[in-house]
Amino acid sequence: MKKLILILAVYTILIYLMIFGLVTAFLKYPPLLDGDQTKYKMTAVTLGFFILLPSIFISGFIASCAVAWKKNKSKFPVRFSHEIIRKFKGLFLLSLALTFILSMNKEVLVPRFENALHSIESAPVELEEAITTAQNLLLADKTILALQYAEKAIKIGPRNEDAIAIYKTVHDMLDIEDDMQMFNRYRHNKIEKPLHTMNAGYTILELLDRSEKAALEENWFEAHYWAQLAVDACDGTNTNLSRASEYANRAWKMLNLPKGYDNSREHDYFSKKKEGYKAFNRGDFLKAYYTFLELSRDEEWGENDPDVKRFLELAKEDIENQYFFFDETEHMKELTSQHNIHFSLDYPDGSKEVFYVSNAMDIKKDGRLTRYLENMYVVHYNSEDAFQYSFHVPYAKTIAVPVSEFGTASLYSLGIRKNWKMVPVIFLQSVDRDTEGLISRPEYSFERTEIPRHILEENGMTYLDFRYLNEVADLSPDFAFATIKILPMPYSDFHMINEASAGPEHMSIPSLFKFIPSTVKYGFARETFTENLTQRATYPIFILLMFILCASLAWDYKIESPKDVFRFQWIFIIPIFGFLTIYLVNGAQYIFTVINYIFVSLFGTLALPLAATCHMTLVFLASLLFVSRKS
Amino acid sequence: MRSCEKKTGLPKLLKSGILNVMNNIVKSCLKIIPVYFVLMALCLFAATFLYMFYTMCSTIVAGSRISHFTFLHFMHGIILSFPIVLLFAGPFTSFYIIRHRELSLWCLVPFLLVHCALFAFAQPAFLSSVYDQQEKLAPEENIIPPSPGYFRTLGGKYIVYYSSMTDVGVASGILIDTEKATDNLYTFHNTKINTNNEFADSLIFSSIKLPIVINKAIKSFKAWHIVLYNAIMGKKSQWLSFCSVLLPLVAGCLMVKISRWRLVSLIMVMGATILIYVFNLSVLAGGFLAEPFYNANFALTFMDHKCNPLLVLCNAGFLLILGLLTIFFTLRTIKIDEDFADDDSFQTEGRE
Repeated sequence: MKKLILILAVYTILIYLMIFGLVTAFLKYPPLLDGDQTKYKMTAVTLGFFILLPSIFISGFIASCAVAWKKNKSKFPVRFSHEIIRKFKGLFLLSLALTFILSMNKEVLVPRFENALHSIESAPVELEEAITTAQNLLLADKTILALQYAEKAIKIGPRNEDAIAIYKTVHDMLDIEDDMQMFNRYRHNKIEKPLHTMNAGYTILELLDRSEKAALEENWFEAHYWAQLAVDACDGTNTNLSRASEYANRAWKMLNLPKGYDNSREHDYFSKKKEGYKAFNRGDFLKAYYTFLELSRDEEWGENDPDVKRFLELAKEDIENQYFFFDETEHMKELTSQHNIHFSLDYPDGSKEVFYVSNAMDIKKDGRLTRYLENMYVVHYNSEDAFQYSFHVPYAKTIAVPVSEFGTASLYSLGIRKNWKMVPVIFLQSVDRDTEGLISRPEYSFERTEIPRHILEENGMTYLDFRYLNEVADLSPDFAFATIKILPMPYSDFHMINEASAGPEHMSIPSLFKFIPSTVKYGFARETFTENLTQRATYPIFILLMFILCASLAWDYKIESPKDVFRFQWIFIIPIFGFLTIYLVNGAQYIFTVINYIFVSLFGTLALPLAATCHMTLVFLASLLFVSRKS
Repeated sequence: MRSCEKKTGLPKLLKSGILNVMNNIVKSCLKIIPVYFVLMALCLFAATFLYMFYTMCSTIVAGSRISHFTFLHFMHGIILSFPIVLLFAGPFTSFYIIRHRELSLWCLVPFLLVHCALFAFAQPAFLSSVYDQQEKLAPEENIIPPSPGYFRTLGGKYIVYYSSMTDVGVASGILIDTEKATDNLYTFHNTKINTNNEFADSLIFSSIKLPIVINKAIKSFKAWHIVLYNAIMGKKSQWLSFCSVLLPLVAGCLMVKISRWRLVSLIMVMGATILIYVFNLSVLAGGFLAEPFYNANFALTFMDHKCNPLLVLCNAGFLLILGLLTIFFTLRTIKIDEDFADDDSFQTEGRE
């Protein structure tokens, strides 16, 4: 056995050197960062080696077995002899070890080296982008964001002078600004409880105390705010309700009382503040936000007015529950991590929506995952699969909302199941942080766009002018333009769809396993995903089978006599042998794909256990075949 | 010790008796012909099954299941795989001879005679009868539109989703151009889609598409079919000159005892077969050698240029090289075999 492993190891190293020689001779470098050439060459060599590893191991295994088991007349004269069973044990263990290496190679090493090669290739462009963005952000006084890009640049090109220079500049700037405290806060991702939740967390008596205290200071805005919160908290039944209402009414009366002002500007300021507060109270948060924003810029009073500060923050929080700000997506271009996400969703009324998102980026904000979507389209079909409308938003924001926040009735009508933890909620409207009236809303279209002629021609499609399909496109009378979309799907699925859109080969085996039951629901073919899972999960069994069959082959074609030594001229057949094994392994693997596909198309999701059982039986039969060898 | 070996070699052979040797040869020959046909039948069955399955997959769409196989598919499978299987049945039988050392080398003669007869006479007879019945064997042209409700990629850069689809392939749905950044989603209806692809559903194709190396092999098999068609439909002399490929192929099959390591013999047989196959194909099927050979053929006037005289010469040359190599190495191997055998008998005698 030791001899077998030794020959296999020497053979594998020889092939690696051969690939190294070939790559060195024929490799043409793409544009790379300085000093990356060697890294690129080694990555390419190793990737090629890993891709060919199954063929290398199998050919090496056959060759070393055939050499190590030179014919020996005194041994194994009969089938199923003790000696051959002992030989089989050692061989089986070695095969298992090699199978493990090859499985890891396929699932981990090959994808990792493919990514590594790709990132070396794209490093020059990415580095330049990161440096430029960092410089621009620095010019715009956004030092902390600039630091993110400088760090990225350093990560891509640790020895690149420009990257080092920009990193140093950003760090110096941070020191000068004495912003380290803020920087640390950013680094530790401190979570601040949203104001509303915090304020609503007080008991009714505490709220009333706060209201009374503010009233004593003649701070009527605050007094009313706390009293109103107390009224809301009483829920119409609490014994403190009358007291809370009394406080609220008194504060409101005091607010509306005509008051003498020193000048008309002060009068304007106060009435504006009242206007903003009224808007805030009736739930017009956009109006309230912009009013308080304007007031906060008033140099004479606004800058130090605690009321304005408080209500601006509260209004902002409310806006963020319905809208998001344009500037939240300003770094979308650089940070986007997923592309071309698509899926379809069925609704309880039988209608269907198809979603498409060009780019998506994930950001951890306030301790929860927020996802920004760029260029989103939603197309709606009614229960008869007829087109109804489509809408488009340049940007949208998605947050995960706990299912517990929805009432039972709305759960049913939205098609949400109770056992889902979180559902994605998409905000379709966005506003400008500073200017009132700049609102981005979804653009609706009630007519089909039809495909441009050149794309039709490219894909061999023809538009038929006459009405072939009778589609009814009447909208129901209660149609409402959406501002927020609640998707009837678990948030975890929403996350997995990213990977699924890129194809099953980009998903890990566990997430593939989890995703398969819901493939058809989201518009993906179950066959493709099940086949991929079956293929990848049974790959180790396939490789094990190959090794055991090849051991039989090696036994049958081993060196004739124990006195024969390994001849040097046999070295020359290695390239031919390697070439033949590439075909052998690929051909065998394809036959396996076909067998797996038959299982998938006949038995659906049961394919994996059935295919595994079938392949295990084959392994058993191959083992029997081997132990039935004789000299 | 050396002199001792030489002395014992010849008498031993005489002792075993010529009759005994003859008996062994006849047994080997009788055994190898059935092996040849069984191997061919197995390969034919496997290839036909793979072909049938592949064709069935080309007619199903996502969400539907494999329907039963038809007899027509089976016939197609046999017709398409027969010439390829015939090409490789020779080396495969040689593998059997390599594996079973007890078989006499003489058994190569009847097996290769049968092999050549099948290749040169049965093959054209079978294929020309197939060509005559081409219309009967043509597959029915059924339009199988892809199923609605799934996302598919189209031509690498488009994503398409059919919301509804008629039996004749008129669809409505969505098409996305992934190379454009904005305004890249089109909603369409009343659009006839392209149903002339090899596979009815690109999703199924993506699952069972052939690996690159295997695809290359399949392409070469297709080219071999065209080459065969041209040779069979041409003049008799053209077919005869095409059959010159048999010369080096047969020489390849003879290399069963070229090395003491049987694996080396196996690799040499297979390597030679593939080399000859690829070489002939690259001349006959418009490969990189086609043009120089075409030009040179006009210069060689002893044969019609359509008969590819240069290729015939090359095949004869290959026969010569492979033949000489085989004879040299086989004789050497036999000699070493005898030496070892003598060595063994000498040692056992000594011990006694």
